[in-house]
Amino acid sequence: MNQTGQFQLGIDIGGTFTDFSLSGREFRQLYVHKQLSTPDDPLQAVREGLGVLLSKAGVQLAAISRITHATTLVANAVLERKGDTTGMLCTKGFVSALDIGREQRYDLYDMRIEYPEPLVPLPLRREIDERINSRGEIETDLPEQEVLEAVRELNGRHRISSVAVCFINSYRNPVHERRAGEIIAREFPGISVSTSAGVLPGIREYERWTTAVVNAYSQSIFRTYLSELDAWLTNNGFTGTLHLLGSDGGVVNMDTARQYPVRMLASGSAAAALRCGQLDKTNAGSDLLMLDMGGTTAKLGIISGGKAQKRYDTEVGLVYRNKSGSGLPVSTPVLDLAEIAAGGGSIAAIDERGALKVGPESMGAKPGPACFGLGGEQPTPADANLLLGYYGTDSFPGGKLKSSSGLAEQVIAGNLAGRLAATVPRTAWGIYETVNENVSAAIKHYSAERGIDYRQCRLVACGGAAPAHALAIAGKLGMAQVIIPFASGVASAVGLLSAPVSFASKQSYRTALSGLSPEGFIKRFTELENSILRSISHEDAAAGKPETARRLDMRYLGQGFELEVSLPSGADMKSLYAALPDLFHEAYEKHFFTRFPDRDMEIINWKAEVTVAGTLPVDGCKPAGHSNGGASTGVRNVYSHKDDRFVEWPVVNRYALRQGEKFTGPMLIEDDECTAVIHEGDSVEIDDRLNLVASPVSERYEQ
Amino acid sequence: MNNNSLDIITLGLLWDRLISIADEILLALVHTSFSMTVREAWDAGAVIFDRSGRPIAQGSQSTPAFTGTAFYTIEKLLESYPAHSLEDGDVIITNDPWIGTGHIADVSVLRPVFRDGDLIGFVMTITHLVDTGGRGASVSSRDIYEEGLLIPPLKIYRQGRLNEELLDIIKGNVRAPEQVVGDIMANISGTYAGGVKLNEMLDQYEHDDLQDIADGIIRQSDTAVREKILAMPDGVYNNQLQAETRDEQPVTLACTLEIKSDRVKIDFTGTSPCVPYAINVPLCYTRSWCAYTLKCLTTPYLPNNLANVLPLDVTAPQDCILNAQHPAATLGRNTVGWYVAPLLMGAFARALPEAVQAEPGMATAVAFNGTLRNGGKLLDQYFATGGIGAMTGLDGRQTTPAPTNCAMISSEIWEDETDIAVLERRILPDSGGAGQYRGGPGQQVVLRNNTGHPISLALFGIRTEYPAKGYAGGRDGGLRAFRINNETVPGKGTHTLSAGGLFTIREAGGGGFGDPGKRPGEKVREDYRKGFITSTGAKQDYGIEIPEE
Repeated sequence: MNQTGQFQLGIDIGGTFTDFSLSGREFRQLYVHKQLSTPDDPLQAVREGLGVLLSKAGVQLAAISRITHATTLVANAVLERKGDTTGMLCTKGFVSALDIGREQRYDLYDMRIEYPEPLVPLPLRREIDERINSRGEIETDLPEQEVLEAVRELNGRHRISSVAVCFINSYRNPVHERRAGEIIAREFPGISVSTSAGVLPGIREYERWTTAVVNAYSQSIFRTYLSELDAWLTNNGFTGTLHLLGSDGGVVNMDTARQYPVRMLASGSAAAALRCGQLDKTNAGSDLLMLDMGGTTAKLGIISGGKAQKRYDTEVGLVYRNKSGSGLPVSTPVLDLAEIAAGGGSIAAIDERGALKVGPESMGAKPGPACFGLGGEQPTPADANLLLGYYGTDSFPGGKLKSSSGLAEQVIAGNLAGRLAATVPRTAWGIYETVNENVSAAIKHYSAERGIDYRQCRLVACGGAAPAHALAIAGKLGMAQVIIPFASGVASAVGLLSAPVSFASKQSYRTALSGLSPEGFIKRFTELENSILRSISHEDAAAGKPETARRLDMRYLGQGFELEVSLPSGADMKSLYAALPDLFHEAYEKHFFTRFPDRDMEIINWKAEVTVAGTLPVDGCKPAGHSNGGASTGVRNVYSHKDDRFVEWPVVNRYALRQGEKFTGPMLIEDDECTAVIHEGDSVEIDDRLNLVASPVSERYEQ
Repeated sequence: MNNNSLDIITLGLLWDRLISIADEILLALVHTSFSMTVREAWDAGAVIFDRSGRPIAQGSQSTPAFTGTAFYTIEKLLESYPAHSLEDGDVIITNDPWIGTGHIADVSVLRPVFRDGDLIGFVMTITHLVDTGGRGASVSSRDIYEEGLLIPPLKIYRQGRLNEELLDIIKGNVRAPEQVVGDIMANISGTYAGGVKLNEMLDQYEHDDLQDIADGIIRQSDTAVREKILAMPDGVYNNQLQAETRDEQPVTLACTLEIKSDRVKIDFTGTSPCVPYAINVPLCYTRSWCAYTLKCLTTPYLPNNLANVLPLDVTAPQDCILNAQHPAATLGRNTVGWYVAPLLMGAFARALPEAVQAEPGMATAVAFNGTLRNGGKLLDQYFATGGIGAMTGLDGRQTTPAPTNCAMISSEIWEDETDIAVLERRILPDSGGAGQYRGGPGQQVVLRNNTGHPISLALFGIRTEYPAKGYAGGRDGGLRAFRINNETVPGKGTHTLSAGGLFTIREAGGGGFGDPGKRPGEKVREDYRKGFITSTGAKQDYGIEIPEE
């Protein structure tokens, strides 16, 4: 086997499963693997899963040149409140900032809305008598002794493992935060420090401080994990580059990842979006609607022209009816995706109306759904899908995990069916349909918020659970086409193989355009780009010729919000400078249907992104898998809701399917990671890259 | 598509889309505004109407006061400019308090939307202007003429051509012409964007107009609202409360609520007369808070539209403070008008004791007027919020606006724009009313004048004498207070803050719900750990000793 170091590896740790992918530029084959996550020691699943994958492919770890890694570790720490004991130092007068919040109700009419508890409770916050004013001038010097005393006292009482330093106006002058960070790091090497302007140098203290607190809260968990991973890889002969995937779909190097875990908040779903991007490049046509559904949650996203939109604010840990506004605001670059609590491991229960509900609580990987036999005592969609016959006991999604229909039946009968006065299969079908309804409602909401007609989009099923639900959901929504990509059960891991190696940086420097010289303009961008180039490792720099993209956040003087203006690439800097007013007026008019040609404008943020390597073209890679024998592997009894009885559905091995083949449902298409459920009347065609392109029957659901 | 066959799924889609268009317009208004009140505090609204002027969708985060004014505003505007006389490219503007939102500071901008030459609907946006001339932001005005420039319904655009004369009149009468004109233009382009997007939507769905969508939206909503009212016990319920004024004498606000079958009648007989300064409330604003309260109690999960005001009759004696007539001064109409929500809630409490929320501490808007360090004009409003009331099963949240929903302004943005430093914003322990469910605590805000000049600040403070009432045995919330350099000052009026002077706002707490004796000890100790109550408060209100650490 080819061992020339041309291999690339993707690893995605999700709440329930850890997924792997392997390919290479010359290799032209794609190996994948799915392994149950091990939340208590995430590395365990990585070690075991990598072992299986590498031996399957016959490749040594030493032959891997690049690993791109996504993980939900950070989001889970916040969601489940399992992060570090974190302290907070803030400017005198602002100890209540986390309690006071945004002072706005996120719903006008609902009097029962709830808000999340702050990650740092009041007893772990300390005020420091320092102050920098809004012009960035020092008003009250930093009392260094007071800082040390505060940390010593917090540590003595509460054993803090990290601290967030949150000072007012630090976006303008971070010197006090920086100094406090330095002396804490010196005196308390065991405590990790996050400074708010270091995490995000933007104005608006509440959002900046919450972001810094989330960063601090997840820092030592994440650091420990990364060090262990790094050490293990090195000990096993890995000499290549390890990158993390940032929430915006760009890679992050190890140093940055250690310092700013908050940037990895949504890295798993960013990876799935990259996978959809791979499809869109060749599947020219309408926009894609990504449904990335794993064990814990489902994510939605619109992929247009191969890319998801970027945004700079998100929320983590929604606490009320999944409503935006009910979580902790985090300002960090992310893809514009929505998350809903609907996964294969979501808990099905009876709510106060006496009706069935699924989620938002989840069994996660441990103990997982009841049918895993790992001690789960709550029914989940995975249990339901097993009882309905969609999943087989020997071919359960997740690397052929053995599963027990007896255990599934026990929890569904005991917890639900009795109280609903329904049969077990009928109850299981109710769970399946409830998940489909929840996801459909979320898709409607997500598209409405963005003014998109989802019926014009193609639904892409990513993640272990999506292929079982996607056609039913698309049928409900009247969507004409569903794509179930090859290796859809590990879509995020495959997406990681095409993560562009690019590094971005942003600098806040506010200047009126009338006061900016061409030299000043050129100098600022040159400095920014040089600082990025300096942070790129030799390995990365060697990967290709750097390409630079430049953007500015601008506004009319006197406004409070900026508009991002992309500067055309290829133009020389002098003519770019001359074109700035027109570029802004045009961008503004496009967005807001008006322009103010006589007004001065100002630049708020300067952004540059240097891309040093293109993506691995996964499309051309031949999927590796067993394809011995025919496609048919037999039949399975599947519950028919219409007739209230079990009927035989054909079961097909996905690895044996060939381009151009066409089928009509009902049928089940299985691979090692997932099962695609093709309902009666749905049609499926296999495309040139072995993706399933399916058309659901929509009348099925019309009453 | 055949318009008669609008199925419920398509209706749902189009309905969501209309709201999303209204949300987009609102967001664009906020993002393009030159006024801090609009862009930080969201003092703005966006509404879409069908061609007969029925409101069918509203920006989700519009100021709640606009929930019930828009349908009336458009009615009055179309009296001046009948729909059949309007042409594509026309835009009507007004800030008449009796037509718009109850005070001169809000400008309403209405654009008819055409499709292939036919009128299909209207888009309206509303924002709070930084200045309208006159005395400026002050409750001292004795009548509307002192409050500045009143723009009657006029066309600011006629067939796509700007009425420059009108714009010049506005420019010549306000303190910050650049900002005011910028914001008016943002409203105009917001309504334009709305029209473009409505047409795009209809193109996509191959639909000729909005009428069947509007019919469907109103039919579905109306059924839902009426079902909820039908389920309420019929009867006549009264309530009254008092609110502080600038005089020794408080005003009395009284209401009679009649629930009968699927209709709700509200009458304000017994309410005190108008006063000779700017806290009088036009009926449109009073009605709006009635609609808002009804919505909270009936269909909080449904989007707002005309259906919410259909089952509602609101009457008030002429010249009572809740039905002020021209030329009464109304700039601070919210300081009395906000009370309409808790006043009604108290009446509903007699019918639906488990559904209501104890009274809120409400919020403060302080209007600053002066000169910046660099010589520029300082003209900004600072917002601070008290705690909200508790209800069955739910403590009131701290520092949250109610019934209004103006967001706080980030301290850093505030300092950057005003040269007024924010020295402190801390939760005020024990300010939330005790109860089985605790009222939300308020906060203490301390500001310092760093402009280098004396500045004036106009206060519209409420709950300085009459606290937020607790319900069902819950206690009242703490009072609001204002201090200049540690001296308490009256809650309504204009004061001077010297250079370097300190201004303190102590925000009121929300009322508690239920007997404090029923609050579990663990909850009381948790409140103590969170800094929401002191150990003294724990002992006095709940009889629980908290050991000193």
